[in-house]
Amino acid sequence: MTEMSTRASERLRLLRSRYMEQVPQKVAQIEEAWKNIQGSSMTRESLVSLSRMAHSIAGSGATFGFPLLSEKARRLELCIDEIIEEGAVLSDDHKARMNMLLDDLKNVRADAVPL
Amino acid sequence: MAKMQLTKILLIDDEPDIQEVVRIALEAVGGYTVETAGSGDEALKKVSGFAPQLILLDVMMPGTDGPTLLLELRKNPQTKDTPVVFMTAKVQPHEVARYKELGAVDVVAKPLDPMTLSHTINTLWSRCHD
Repeated sequence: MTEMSTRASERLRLLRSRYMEQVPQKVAQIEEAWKNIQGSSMTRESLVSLSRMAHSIAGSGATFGFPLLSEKARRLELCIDEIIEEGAVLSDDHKARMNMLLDDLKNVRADAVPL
Repeated sequence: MAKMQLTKILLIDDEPDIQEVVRIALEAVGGYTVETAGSGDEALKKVSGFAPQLILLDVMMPGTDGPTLLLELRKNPQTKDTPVVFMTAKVQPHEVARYKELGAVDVVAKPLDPMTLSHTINTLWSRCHD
């Protein structure tokens, strides 16, 4: 490995470590946003915002060596997008699926192991 | 005629984490000079000063998304012919075909592999200039 790629690997390792530290907060923010959506008047905008939060983890997790985190976040994102496409109305089925997918995401966060 | 060397890349992605990873991947591994922008507005302001030779463009961004920004870049005299490569997790064949119809030269799938991204970009650049 060249010196340049060795330095790059070290920088990526540090970046990955920092990302790992930030994931619990990102997931907690999603959880809080979801709680607010259920508790107050839900709007399309609040769901779009929630979708973007899930999309952020879905897009970055695997890049930092956490593919399962990306997968679980992607499933959550797709569920939210489905709710938006169906007119931003929360059915009991939607709520149950969202809660299940959010639990999946939280559990992955606890067990995240980098490649 | 000697092939033009790729040295300057503009990365447009709203995720700071992705910006950092891609910057390391392209600068430290590939030796490129990278400028980043977190939005379409920021990108359009930076292109005249930086004059990128290639643009890496995220598809899903708040506000102006990637495909819409590509159309704006094509209207800008400084970037109308600059190769644009989309970065996205949405890489089904019909989606890739749509991106190319819009004018992207190719698509890089997310999640990205930081250690091979430079090689991928270099290959795309060579293909554009063969």
